[in-house]
Amino acid sequence: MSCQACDWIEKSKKIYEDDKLVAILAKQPANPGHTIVIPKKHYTILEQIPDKEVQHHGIVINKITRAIFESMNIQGVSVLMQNGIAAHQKIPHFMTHIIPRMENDDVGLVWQPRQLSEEEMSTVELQLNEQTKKIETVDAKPLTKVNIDNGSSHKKQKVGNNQSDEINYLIKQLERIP
Amino acid sequence: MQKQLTEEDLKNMSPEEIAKLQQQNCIFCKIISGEVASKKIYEDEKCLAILDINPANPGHILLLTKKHFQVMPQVPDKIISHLFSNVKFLSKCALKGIQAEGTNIVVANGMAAGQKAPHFMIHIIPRKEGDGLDFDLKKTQIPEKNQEILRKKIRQKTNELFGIVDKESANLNSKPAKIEQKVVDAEFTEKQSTDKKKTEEKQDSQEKQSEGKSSKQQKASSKTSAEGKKPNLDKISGLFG
Repeated sequence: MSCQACDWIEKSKKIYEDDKLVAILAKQPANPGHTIVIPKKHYTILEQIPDKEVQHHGIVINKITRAIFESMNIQGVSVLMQNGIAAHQKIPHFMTHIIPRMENDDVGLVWQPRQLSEEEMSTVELQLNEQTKKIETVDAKPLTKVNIDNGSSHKKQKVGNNQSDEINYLIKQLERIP
Repeated sequence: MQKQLTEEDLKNMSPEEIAKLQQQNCIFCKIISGEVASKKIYEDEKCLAILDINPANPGHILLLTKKHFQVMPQVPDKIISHLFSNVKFLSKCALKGIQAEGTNIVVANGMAAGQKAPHFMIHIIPRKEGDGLDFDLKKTQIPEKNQEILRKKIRQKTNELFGIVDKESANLNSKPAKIEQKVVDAEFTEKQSTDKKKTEEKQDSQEKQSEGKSSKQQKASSKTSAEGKKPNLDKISGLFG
């Protein structure tokens, strides 16, 4: 079964195209002017797209958002990614939706703010902070990760912990040599 | 002590002055400066990611630009590109850190799109099957003829912003064609729209005169020749009523 999005890339008239992605109008728009930005390569989810390409996506999405703002009489623009089936992704080919908005247009994309317990919030904060330390960020230019000293976190985050472990190991190795 | 501003004071202020006032009172700028506490997840020179204290779901992250922008079109390429790769990074963290099954990435530009605070941010919302949130999109049908008129309009403006001249836009007249009533309806026209259009036409033709010297094909990379042009602030500041 061929990919519907790959089909659109091939056959649709474009709003914008370069070697990495295309922008086309949605076939069944949420609102007139609903534009979709699709990478030419068949990536399923956001996490599969290389960082540099994601950055390029950002620039194009931003320019098209501005183009829509300035060429249509609208009151707002929503940008939406449905990353995964649980997030309402319908086609297994990653895409970004840019949707012109008017008040009371029934497009939605709103949510009821929830009140979580302090415990729940702290747990999530810890779990996420654990990941931000582990997973590599942008590979383009290394930026200094700021050492976050949160009053609300339970332990101080140490930067360079791995380095000191490595040094200790080497010293231990040296001590072993007769 | 700051003097109390009256409604009349506000009416007499320029959009730039209003923006400056918003920035001074911006809760997110205060979070960034450390004046107000927050649960920080990630931080670097250009951006800060915090937990939303009234989340749609546990792990709902707000990714903020450190510099104060109201809406996305105001954000320069260097910052927006950096932010988007951090969106990918934070989405990955949510999937791994709290076993989310998916993420919705949302940017709300303008009140009509659900923007609550006048500080640009990207929402990263972890999702689980059956969690009760709705980020599905409705589907409508629009006649092909109207779609094509819209496509050309958006394409033309996109080309201008990228500094591209291609065969398609070269064929379009400098004066926009008469727009049929159906398309006018399709563009949510209100009574004021004719006046707005006249101002826009003037802006379009002025922009065309200052550009149009390069003749690159549309497959050019995103060179920021149009980056210097600032988005129409009047329209954007009006988004907050």
